[in-house]
Formats: sequence, structure tokens, C-alpha cells
Amino acid sequence: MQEVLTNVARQNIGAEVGIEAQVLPTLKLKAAASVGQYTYANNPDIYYTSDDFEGPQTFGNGKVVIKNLHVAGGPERAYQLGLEYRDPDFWNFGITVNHFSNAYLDISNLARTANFNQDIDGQPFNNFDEDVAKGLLRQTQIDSYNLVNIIGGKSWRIGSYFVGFFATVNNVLNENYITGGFEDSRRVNYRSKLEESQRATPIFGDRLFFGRGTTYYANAYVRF
Amino acid sequence: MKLIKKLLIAATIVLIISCVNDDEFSTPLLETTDPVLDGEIITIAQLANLYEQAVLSEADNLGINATSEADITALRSTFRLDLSETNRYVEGFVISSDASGNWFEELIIQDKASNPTAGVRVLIDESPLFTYYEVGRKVFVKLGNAVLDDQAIGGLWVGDSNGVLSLGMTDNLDKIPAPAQFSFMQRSSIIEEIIPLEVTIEDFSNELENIFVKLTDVQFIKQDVIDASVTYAGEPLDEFDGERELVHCATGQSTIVSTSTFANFKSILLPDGVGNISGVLTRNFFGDTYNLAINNPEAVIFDGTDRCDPIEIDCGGASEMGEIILFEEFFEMQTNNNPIMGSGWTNYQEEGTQAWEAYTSTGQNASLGRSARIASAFSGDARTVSWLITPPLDFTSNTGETLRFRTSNSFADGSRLTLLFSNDWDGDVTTIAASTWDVLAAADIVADNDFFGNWIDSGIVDLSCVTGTGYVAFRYNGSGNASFDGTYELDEIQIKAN
Repeated sequence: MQEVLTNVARQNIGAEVGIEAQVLPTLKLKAAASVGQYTYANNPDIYYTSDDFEGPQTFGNGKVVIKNLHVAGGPERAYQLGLEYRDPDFWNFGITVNHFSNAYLDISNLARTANFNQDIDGQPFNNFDEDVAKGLLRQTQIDSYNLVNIIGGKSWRIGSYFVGFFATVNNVLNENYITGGFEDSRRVNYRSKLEESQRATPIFGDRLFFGRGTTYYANAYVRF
Repeated sequence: MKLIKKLLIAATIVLIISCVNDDEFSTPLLETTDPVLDGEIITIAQLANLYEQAVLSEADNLGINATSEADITALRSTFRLDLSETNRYVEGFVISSDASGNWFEELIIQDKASNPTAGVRVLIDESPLFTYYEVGRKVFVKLGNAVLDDQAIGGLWVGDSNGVLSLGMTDNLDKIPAPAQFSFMQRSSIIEEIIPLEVTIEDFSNELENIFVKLTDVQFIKQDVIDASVTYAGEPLDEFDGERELVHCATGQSTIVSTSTFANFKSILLPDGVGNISGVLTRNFFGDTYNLAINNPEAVIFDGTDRCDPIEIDCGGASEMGEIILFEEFFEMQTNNNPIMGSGWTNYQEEGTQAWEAYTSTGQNASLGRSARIASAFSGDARTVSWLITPPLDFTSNTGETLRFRTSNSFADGSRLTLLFSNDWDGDVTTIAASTWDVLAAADIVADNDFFGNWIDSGIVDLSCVTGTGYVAFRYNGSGNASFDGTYELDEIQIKAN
């Protein structure tokens, strides 16, 4: 089945700022921030096509109600604080602390069409409750997370050769974090979504992507 | 620098006003559409008439006497009318809810949300139904030939099933298969509050079946809620249904509240107060008695504490009767088909037209020589309350007084015979209703399910604990309504002392 969205308007706004300070000849402090908001600005048109049914299938007024929902594309806010030390004895060390927040799951469009509140005969579900519906359709904001990364290295000069190594350790604190995900589109009408939401573990819940734990990378080299 | 500042401030303002909160979104538009029907709509009453007419015409074909209610009722229980050629819909409001499990794969609809005049049961092989057909929802039922996935699946049949007017498939009134329900059932967007029709138990009639009714000033019988604590349908002996007797305080008339043993409230205790109850008037599984079926226990609002139980006289027990005859009546000296009179009897009709009369009969339903009987069948009475009261008896100077009599009945149904005692009545018929009449509960009186030919011995009823001058009374309660118009027969009354 294909889902076709047309007439989509998005609003992207944001600001980025970065500073660097050479505190000592060997020590550099740096900080950066990026704050933005990426949202849908209208309710686009939507239709479905498939070999299983005739012609394009629309629901209700043919709109998908996603105005003011966020476009899923990573964290909307990111902050970084870092320092770099370069010793005259040819070794260096750097550390950065990063904070990411305001990332959102990719929404299911089908769940936001009129199909959501329609029973089999097109009448609204008889237990439909606007407040509950709003709770079911609220876009999930992914938990914020912090990442600490370290980089360090040293080099020697032997004759006309340079010998050295460097290593990086990402996510030093082994933080368990979610980078993104999407809502399942299998059980998306009010009644089945309500049923799913009442399970301890939803059968067709959100699909999530997890970030890596601590990763190590080491590199040795000879230059001539 | 100034320009940069201005730009920064402007950018900040833009950022702030365009910021969206996570709750600033809408849910899809809630749309309602009404079905487009391809046929004319008829009322439930029209459907019922269509069926009644067909029953009478069938009776004519089979040579059945149309004036014999019993014969027509028997014909109704087997005769089903094919509606497949009628290109019509019947409309109604849903009044039953299987949310609590007291209904199963059936939907009761009535013609109007308030002041209904007719109702019908629709059999659908689906559970639950309340998630689609909620109480108050207007629905249209297609009567004629329907299609499912371009396949013709036939039409509906109407008939009498479990004693009530029902719609189903085939002449067997089978349940409409679950996938086919959408071929027959269409929901309107209209949902109305169902206002129960206030009736009394004596109003119960075929016309009130499948209608949401409300009874006021009623209570469950003392034996179930005061002497014992009985549940709706959770007793060991309850099979399929728990049937509990409900009494109307003002008239003493009673009916049955029937609860499925699959209802989720079956193990809730019956409320012991007095008040009102709302439910669907239907019939029991066999179709022979009126039942009230509730959607949930909240339909029973018995918040009154002032119960109206009659006071019962219980003098303990007596194993034998004394030698002194205080009063004896075998009715042999009475005249057939004339009211009982003489011997000090008071034969009084508090309501209605029917009196206790003498009769003789032989065969399977024989009298004991000459006996007394009362019946309200064909009386046309809205209510029948008839008393047969003994002459005054001296309970002060005698000791060890006992009473014994025999009773029999025919088609008693909802009519009842009660044995009463008063020692404050002054003997004047105008004060009977105002006097205190206590129930002599120890007497065995014939029950509806006893064989009609049998004469039931009351057993020896001990009256030794009453004092003063007293009267023993036999009171009949019934009406001209076919379900309350039974016959009671009475004989061999003996009151003795030591």
C-alpha cells in the first residue's frame, strides 16, 4: 500500500551559536548550541493506493491532521561544551560533553486521518472521548540524553619518521539513549490504539532506534 | 552593532511567538454521516401487526379457532413470517446492553426513545454488541433480501421466539451471522436518552414486551433479602438464569427479575431497600412468564429503607388438631355458580368484579364434592382483589387453635392466593382495606407449578398465639390480563381448638 501526501507545508526556525576561547596557549575551551523547531504548518492532503482496492482511498475530508506536529529529524536542541589540550611534548587530549533534547518520533499519518475515529460504518466510535483521543495522538517526545566523548593522542619523531597513535572513546558514561523511532501504523484507529495503550507491552507499539553504548576507536600510524 | 542588536531582538520575538507547545495539535475531525436507505421505513408496531395478521390468516388456513387465545399462542410459537420480499426497514432505539453480560447475542429495540409503544428483539450472532449498538442508538434493520460481498444472503424472518417478537434468519429464527449484520443493520447518527416507560406489574402485556419500563415502589421479597442474603444469579441452584421475585408495595403484585448466570453482576447481593427498577420487559426462556431484565445493577435504585413487608404470624408449629370445632366449611350446602354466602362468610370484592363462587367438577380437575373457586379470566378487570373471610372466631377463651384447608389452581400464572389474619377488623366490609391483615405464612398454598388437578393440603397451621376475636381471610389478587387471571380452588376449611 502506498501513502501519498501532497500540499505539505513545513516551518523550520532556529538559531545556532558557537564560541571558542584560547584560554592558555595549550588549552582551548569551546561551546556550541543549536536550538530549533521543525514543524508541519498545515494539514496536508493524503490518499492511499493499493492493488487490493480500487482507486485512491481517502478518509473523511481527505486531510491528515498534523499541523503543529514535529518533523522527526533528530534532536531539535543540542548543546556542547568542550576543551582541547595540546601539550608541547606532542600529546593532546580533548573532551566534549553534549546534551541533546526535543527529538520526536516520526508520526503515523494514517492515525491522524478521519479513519482514526470511524467505526466500520463510518460513524464515530461510540466510546470516543476527545480527551482520550488527544492523549493517544500526542506525538511522543524522546527523552533527552547526554553524551561524553574523549579523544587523545601522542606522536614521536624517530629520525625522519613520525610514529604516533590516537584514540577516541564515545559515550564514555555508557548512556542508554534513543536516537529516533516511528509510530506503528498497524492498529491506528481510536479503539485499537486505546486497546494497545492499555497493554503492559503494546503489540504494535512505537518502533524505537537505540544509540550505541560506549565505543572505542584506536589508531596507530607511521608517517614517512 | 545596533543593527545586529535589532535583528537579534526581532529574531527572538519570532522564535517565541512561533514556538509550539506539544499539546497544540488537533485530533481528526469527528464526522457523522447518516445511512442512505434503499427502502421505506416502517415502525415496529407495523411490523408486529404484519406478523399478527399473518398469524390469524395462518390460523384460518389451518382451521384454528382465532378466538381461542391458547390456540393462537400455540400457533405463534411456531409460525414465522418470511420478510425477504419486503423492501423495507424497521427503525428503533437500542434499549438492551450486553456490557454487563446480562444479554447475549440479542439486541432489543423499541420504536421511540420516550413513550414507546412497541419493541422487537433482533438476534445477532456477535458478542459484544454494546461497543457498536449502544443504548439509545437509533438503528435501521433491513427486513428484505440483503447482499454480503455481492452474494445474496436472503432476508429476515419475524416470529415469536422465547415468547417475544423476534427478528432472525430462516424460519428457525437463527441469529444473523456476525459478518452479515452490517448487511441488515444500519446505524443512524442519532443517539437519544431512553426515558423508561413507567408502568405497574399489572400493566404487563404482550404490547409492553421488548420495551424499557420502570417499576416504582417495588422491593425484592423478604425471603431473599431479609431472611437470607441472595444474589442476582450467583446461587448454587441458579442455572442459566437467576429468577428473583419482586413485589409492588401498593398492590402486593409480584413479577420476576431475571438475571443471566453469565452477567458480571450475578454475585452482587440483591438490594434490600424499596424503590424503582428499570429494565426491559421480556419473557423467560420458555416464554411462559413475564421477566424484567436489567442492563446493569445501577438500574435498581432501592434507596428507600421503609420496606412494605406484610407482618407474618408464626405461632411455632402444631402436629395435630384439637377436638373442638370452631369453624368448618366444606361448601357442600352452597349453590353452584353462585357466590359463597351464609355460614358467616364475608364475600367481598375490594377491586374488580369476581367473587368466590361454589362449583362442582369431575374428571382430571375435579372438585372435592362441591368446592369454592375464584378466577379473573375474561373479567376485563384492571385489578381483581377478592376476599373470602370467616365469621369472627374467639381466640381468647379457646386454646391450641389450628387451621387446615386445601387448595388447587389452574393457570395461576401471576395471580395469587394469600392467607391472612386480622384481630382488629370490625366486621364491616368498608373497613377491610384499612384493617391490619397479617400473613399466615406457615400455610402451604398451591403454587403455580403444582399440577392443576392436585389439591394441596395446607398442613396444620398453628393459631394458638393469636388472641382476641379474629378473622381468617383468603384473598385473591389477579386481573383480567391473561398473565394474571388464574383460577384458585378452595375447600375443606377446618378451624379447631383443644
